[in-house]
Amino acid sequence: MNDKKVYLPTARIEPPLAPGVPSTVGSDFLTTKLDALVQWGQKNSLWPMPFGTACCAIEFMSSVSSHYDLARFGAEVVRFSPRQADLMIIAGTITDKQAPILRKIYDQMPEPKWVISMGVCACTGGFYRAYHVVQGVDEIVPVDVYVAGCPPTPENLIHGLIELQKRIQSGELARHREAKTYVPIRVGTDPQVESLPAWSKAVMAPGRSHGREFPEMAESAEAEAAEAEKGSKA
Amino acid sequence: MPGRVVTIQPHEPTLGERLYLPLLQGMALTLKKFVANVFTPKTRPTIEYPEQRRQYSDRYRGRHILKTREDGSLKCVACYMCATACPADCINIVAGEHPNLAYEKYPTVFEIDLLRCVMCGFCVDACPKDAIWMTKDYEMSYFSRQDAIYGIPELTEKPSDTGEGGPGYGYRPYYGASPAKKAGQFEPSGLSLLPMTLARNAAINRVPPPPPKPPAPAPAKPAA
Amino acid sequence: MSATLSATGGVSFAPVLERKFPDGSVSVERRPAADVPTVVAAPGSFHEAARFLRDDPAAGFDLLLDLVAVDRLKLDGPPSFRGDERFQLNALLYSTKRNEHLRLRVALPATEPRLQTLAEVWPASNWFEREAWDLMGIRFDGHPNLARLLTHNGFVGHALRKDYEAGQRWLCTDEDVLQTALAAKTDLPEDVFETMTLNFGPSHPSTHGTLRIVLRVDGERIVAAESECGYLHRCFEKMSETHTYTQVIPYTDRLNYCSPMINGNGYARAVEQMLGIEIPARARAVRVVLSEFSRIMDHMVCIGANLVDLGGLTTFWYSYQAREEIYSLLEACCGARLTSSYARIGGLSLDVPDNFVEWCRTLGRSVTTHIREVETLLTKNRIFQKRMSGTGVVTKEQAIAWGFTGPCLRASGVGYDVRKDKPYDGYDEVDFDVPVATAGDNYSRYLVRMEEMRQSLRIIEQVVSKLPGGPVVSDDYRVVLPPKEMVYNEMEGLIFHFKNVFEGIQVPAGEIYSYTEGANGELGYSIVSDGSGRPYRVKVRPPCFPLFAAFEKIIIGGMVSDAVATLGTLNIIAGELDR
Repeated sequence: MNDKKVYLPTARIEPPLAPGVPSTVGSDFLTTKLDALVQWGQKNSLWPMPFGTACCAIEFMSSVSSHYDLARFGAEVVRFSPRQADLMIIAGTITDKQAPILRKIYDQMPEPKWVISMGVCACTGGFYRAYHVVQGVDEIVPVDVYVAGCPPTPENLIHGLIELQKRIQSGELARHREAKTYVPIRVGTDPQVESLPAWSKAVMAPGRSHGREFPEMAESAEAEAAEAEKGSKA
Repeated sequence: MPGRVVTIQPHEPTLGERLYLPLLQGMALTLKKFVANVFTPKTRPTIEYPEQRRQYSDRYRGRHILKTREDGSLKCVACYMCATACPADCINIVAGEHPNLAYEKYPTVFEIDLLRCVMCGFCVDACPKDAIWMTKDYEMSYFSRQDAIYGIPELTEKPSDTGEGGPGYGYRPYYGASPAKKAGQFEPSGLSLLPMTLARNAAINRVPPPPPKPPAPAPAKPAA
Repeated sequence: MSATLSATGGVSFAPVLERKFPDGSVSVERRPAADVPTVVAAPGSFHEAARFLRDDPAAGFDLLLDLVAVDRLKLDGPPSFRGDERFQLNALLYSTKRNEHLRLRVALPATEPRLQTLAEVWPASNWFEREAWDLMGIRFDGHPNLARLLTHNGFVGHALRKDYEAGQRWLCTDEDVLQTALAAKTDLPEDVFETMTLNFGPSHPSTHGTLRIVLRVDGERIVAAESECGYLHRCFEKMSETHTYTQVIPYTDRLNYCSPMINGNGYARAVEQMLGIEIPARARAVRVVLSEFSRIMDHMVCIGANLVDLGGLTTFWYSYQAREEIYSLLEACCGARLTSSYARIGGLSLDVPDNFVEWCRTLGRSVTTHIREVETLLTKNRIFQKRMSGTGVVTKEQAIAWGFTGPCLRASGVGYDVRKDKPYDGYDEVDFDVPVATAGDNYSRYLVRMEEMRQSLRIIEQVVSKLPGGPVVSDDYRVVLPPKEMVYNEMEGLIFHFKNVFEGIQVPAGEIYSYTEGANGELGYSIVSDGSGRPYRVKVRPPCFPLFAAFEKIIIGGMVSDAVATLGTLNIIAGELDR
């Protein structure tokens, strides 16, 4: 990655929910059953807010159409207002220009909220290792489920939704969010991202073949460029 | 301007339209569909995933698998063609030396980042060893980015992928450039590419192609 | 490229040109016959040449298609490519009366490239010049609003210059997003009591995708508007410079993602023309059939999404049914529903399945049913008519001045369809009509699209009934991958395969402008090649770019809800708009 210009995103650190108050007050029978009931309700009435930008938005529209029908999972009410939604489905490439807007919309959603990153462009930047594309929306918002595919078929998206529902029911995701204060990926303290190999994170850099380190090719490319310059000056 | 051009005249609403009568036609259509969908479930267009699944073709581009030889080793010889052909640069290969000289190399590391992969199938097209295929498996959702980087254990072909009850094979190397051949056939066509190779080498190496044989010298003519 | 060079370079009015510019500052450049005729101007006479080309009856180029800026820093050529003639600006023009294309070129220096704006000559050039400024750094004197268009306001540098690294990103903060020129203006028109500035987008259900329009409204009426794009600028053109010709094909799928086959076919056709190879008849026919199905898909989405904004959800479900059925066909052919990557340079990647012909016929029948259903719900619907008739009116002169092509131009009265006027891929052997309307309002655009869908079905039926046999890909193995049996068994096959994958297709140095009829209008590809396996410059002429640029002018005086209806019928697809 290019170290000359440091990219610092605008994401703020998300505060933990009501500090000092744990999610389960004690662990007796009544409150765990109440938790289970609440989680059952939450998982079966996820109202999506489709932050659709590109081709994945078309596949999202296919998912809510009659062929696949996301409404069968309780996601009937597709709300484009973030204030009335609890699931943000980021469908499509997010560019640097769109990034502040994504963060603003995410902040406007009330808790509890979940994020599905649909499609490889939203998850990692996809094959756009370029100067205007955010290399994964987890630079900006915390993501719960990454759905792969370009674009993912509607069944794949529903599979991701079902996985999310399972984790909501088990309480894993609510606990997960409370325990961790989200720090944006590029600041470098997120252990999940540090463990990713560099070749997966790399954005296109000069003298390299597709962002991968081929030192002999870079040397020969530089030698060729130097020769060409000498040739043009001569 | 050539071609038949049909002009659509500006529409003047008829009396029936002004009385909103055609709306009844529209409503009758939606009512008919509503009744059909409620009372005859067989005509419903909804595919109730995950209980019902859509049947995809044998060319579906899903998750990749690495194919194995009879002895269980990967067919892949770490030639880097798939990694070079990939537009998303999502394949990472580290080659190691294979003791058998016929194979020469094998991949010690073969990783595909499925969250970068755009499912274009170029890796399958580019492989010269029939080593990478795609399946019809499309269920790829993860909870972290690290989970989506599939290494050799996850990518190697398993009976659960391609056997009974599994998603099955999808996109595979086709003989698409074969003239007048249908997909899947493997008969030798008798074509040889040698003449074309010679011409191409001549062009690339800037060596002039061998000059055409001069005609047999004509018998000497007396000067006019 | 094909060998024959035309005598006057294909420019029929060359004598008139010579008389008008006797000093030779504007002259004809000889181009191969596959490319469009070209006229070269010196920087000083560029503006005059542009006026001449628009006004002179022998020329009459009234429609500006595209402005292509090329940075020739790394191109093989004279040293001036790195100095006085580093930048090249090409204006692609079309004459609606004479049905001719033309390219007008000028060379600009490396330091401070400036040119006088073409905004008075062709109003369509407004946004094209902004894009040339944003991505290449060419200044246009006298431009009303020369600000960045595709990249954000915090971006530093000009991204498509050859010395700009492809991966260099810049941070965009909230302040960079909020201010546009209109939002910053605080003056009020005289006769208005009070206006409010509203932001329409970029995350809005009715702006299909990431479009933003800043509106100045007086009550419900729009007094001033400014549209802004670039929220989906995915750097297609830079990516195509760093990838090989074949690797660009998946990128083209994501341009107009509602009809992906058409983009891939157009790109493959452009490269095939540069190479001078012919694709087999079967490949051409299949490309035509799938392009027409893609056109139907695109129009279905346009109408369905438009109706969602107007409040009619039912049409959306019905039109998506048609789309899902076409998806099944596409998936059986190439393996993916939406982003097919089916075209290859030289033909198609795979042959179609065995039951292709019957499937197309059955699909044609069911799509006809869906079209009829949509029509039952909409065409005679008084509510729909009242909302759509008379709103979003674009007159014929406005449409040509603003650079419209495609259904929006045809709905305003100009019958220009690339398939009829400059036929390609065998469209001249097929019998179909081109619907043209005269009113230029939203309802006409809707009717034109409905009729085009029916005509597409006609084309499909005719082509499929005489689908030729044979291979689906050229047998020139320098360009296509050899058959797998040869790759596995023969050394030469492996070598061709290896060279194709590692080095890419070696396209001879040169350039071309190749155009086809996309679902939204003329989809053009300007490709410059430097002789290597990677394109030197690819510029897409997006059909919806001039449509969205003109949108801010169309909606003035109307209501906000009419603006929503107009945006739907213009069919702005952000992937194509921003590339």
